[in-house]
Amino acid sequence: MNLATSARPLPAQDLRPSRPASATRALAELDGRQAGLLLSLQDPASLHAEMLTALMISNSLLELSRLASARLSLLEFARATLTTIAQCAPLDACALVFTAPDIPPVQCVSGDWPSPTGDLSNLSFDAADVAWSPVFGTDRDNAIGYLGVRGAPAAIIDAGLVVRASEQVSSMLGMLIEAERLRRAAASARAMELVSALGDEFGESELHEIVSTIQTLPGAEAATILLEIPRFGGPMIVEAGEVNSDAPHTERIDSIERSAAMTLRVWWTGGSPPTDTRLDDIAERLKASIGRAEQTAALRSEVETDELTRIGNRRRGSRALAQASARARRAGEEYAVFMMDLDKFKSVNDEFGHEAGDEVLRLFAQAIEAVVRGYDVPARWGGEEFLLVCPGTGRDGAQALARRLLEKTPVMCSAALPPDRLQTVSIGIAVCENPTVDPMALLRQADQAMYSAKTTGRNRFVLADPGIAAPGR
Amino acid sequence: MNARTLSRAQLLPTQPLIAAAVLAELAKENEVELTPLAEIDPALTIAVMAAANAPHLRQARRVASVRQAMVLLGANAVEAIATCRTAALVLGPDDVGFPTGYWVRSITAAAASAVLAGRLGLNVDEAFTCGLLHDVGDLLLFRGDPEMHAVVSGRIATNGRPILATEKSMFGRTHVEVGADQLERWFFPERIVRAVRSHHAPAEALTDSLSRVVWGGHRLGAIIAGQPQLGAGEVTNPTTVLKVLGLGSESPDRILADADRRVNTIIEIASRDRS
Repeated sequence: MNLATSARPLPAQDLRPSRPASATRALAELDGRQAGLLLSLQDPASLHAEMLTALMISNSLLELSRLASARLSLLEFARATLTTIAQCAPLDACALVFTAPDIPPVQCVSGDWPSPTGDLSNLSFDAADVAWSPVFGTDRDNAIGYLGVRGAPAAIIDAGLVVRASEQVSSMLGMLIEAERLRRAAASARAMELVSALGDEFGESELHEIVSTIQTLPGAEAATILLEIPRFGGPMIVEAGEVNSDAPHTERIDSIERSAAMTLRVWWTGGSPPTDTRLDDIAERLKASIGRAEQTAALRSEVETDELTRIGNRRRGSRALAQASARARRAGEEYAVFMMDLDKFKSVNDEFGHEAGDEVLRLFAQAIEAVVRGYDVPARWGGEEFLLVCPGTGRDGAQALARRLLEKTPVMCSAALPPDRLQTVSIGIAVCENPTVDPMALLRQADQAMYSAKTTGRNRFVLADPGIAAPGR
Repeated sequence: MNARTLSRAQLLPTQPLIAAAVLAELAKENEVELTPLAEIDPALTIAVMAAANAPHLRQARRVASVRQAMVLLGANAVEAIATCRTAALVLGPDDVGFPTGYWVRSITAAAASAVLAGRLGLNVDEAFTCGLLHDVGDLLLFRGDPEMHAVVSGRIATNGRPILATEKSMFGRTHVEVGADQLERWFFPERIVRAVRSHHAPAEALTDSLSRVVWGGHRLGAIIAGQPQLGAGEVTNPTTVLKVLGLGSESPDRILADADRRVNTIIEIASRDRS
């Protein structure tokens, strides 16, 4: 032991005040006293080592016993065990590894532990400075794993720290493994419940909850669901656990009605699934739920589509408004409502016939779709009136969108009209910044703003209360 | 410092004076009183706080003072920790020990930080704990590679080289980085980590009250210890230190005298006859 290996005096940059220096004098003696004291503490003839070793082992066992009531998962228990041992005994590192049927292997290390492959899956317990004891068994052949320590003083090992700690761990492990098995068994029931209750408008969060539950099935380590359905616009993949595509796994590919497909992959401990996972039942039910949801979505789409313009009809517009309002209340998100009316549309019908009028309506619907985002909902509200609901849109975004609509409308509609006839639109906008506002009240505000745009010259937008009336050009 | 040496370096033993006191307390049949000892020994403070902030205890907020940590853990756990850290010293005759003056530097900075916190109406316990651990990075560098530490210290002492730049060029990391990063791994609260990381920083870079207190405590503590640990160009004048802390109207002599008294109390706790 060297208590005076280095000194780091630096020249004091400046002045110290004059003052009583009682502590300074006492401190100056301190290091010298410490060095002398250490020699007597480490004297092999003293009884300190014996007392400390006995206390250390009893403390370790006492602290380990507390973990039994801590409601820990198996992995948390393993980590807490190692933290507790490292806290109670002076050692370089400790490790706990074990495997049990239907649960992923547990491999935990605290400190630096040798591994031939450099990862936790292949820890070595053969090093000279390692002391180990079997967990849940009497030797390497019948144990489910090992508890080991590295770099602990020989006196502590000789006094039985590792053996007694592993006995303590084994006594708690049986109950925890059983609890983990039950938790995993309950996972299949939970997964069935989730897939059965899948709503018609499910999305990524619902699928993620399902795949996370599948990942906790007995023996499962990771899972992914790849879903290809038209309304998502592209494949959606959700995953849980550490996915290793190269490792052996179960793969199930299902075609679902209306050109949809689902691929479910599960990675298992040991590479193959246990017999009672009910994975096929879960996959069948998931396939049925997604199929039902797609049928409902298709049906709803038919019922809520305007026959002439192929955008949403009044029913779709009302539902979009209710959805935006619910989302605003739930997530505190603002949204914008546009009410739009084609200017002097009656004269189009009168002068150029109803066919031209219908074509103008179709082209205006295309103009709206050309400038909005995928999750904005346009709908024909009636006659030449259109509604547009834009979730997550504030005043600035709404005004920018309105400008694009004002620009796009005459360009798109020109295909149905003579060159000297420009089709314009008047737009009223209401932005919901307070989630408690009734969506129908918001709709009325947008309607009033639209009439205001009409009466102040048409071909412009007006933003409802607090009274900002912006000219369209 | 590689992972192996850092791993060994983290197994901090108690100070010999504290080890003797812990042994004397453990030998008693009843009324074992380890709390005051755990408060003034860096190894015990770290072990207790790391245990109290361990993830499996699922604390809503991280514990920031050793006193709070001991209340949370209970007397048995504190006894286990004190036994283990004392055993690390007593049963480890090949232990490399401590850098000269490390504990003196720690307790003087702790005492001065506590006095400054008291003057500013801040949490005194937290400031004391943070002051006690402000130089733990130096201890870790020393225990990871004592020979290199001696070379670095020699260059700083004889050539007057700046501490952090010299450490960076020789160890690859500074003691403030090593200390703060390790406290983070031991689950210490962010404000303590930040204060440790900034105790050599320029005054204008200090962003919170605890960092300022420890920055000041480190400087006033060095004066009390008579062993300044400051880099070239760093503020050391106590009047300037107090101005930085917004205590310009306070008498430096009075604050130093208060810190002196606290240091004497610490020495008395460690040296008390426990027979």
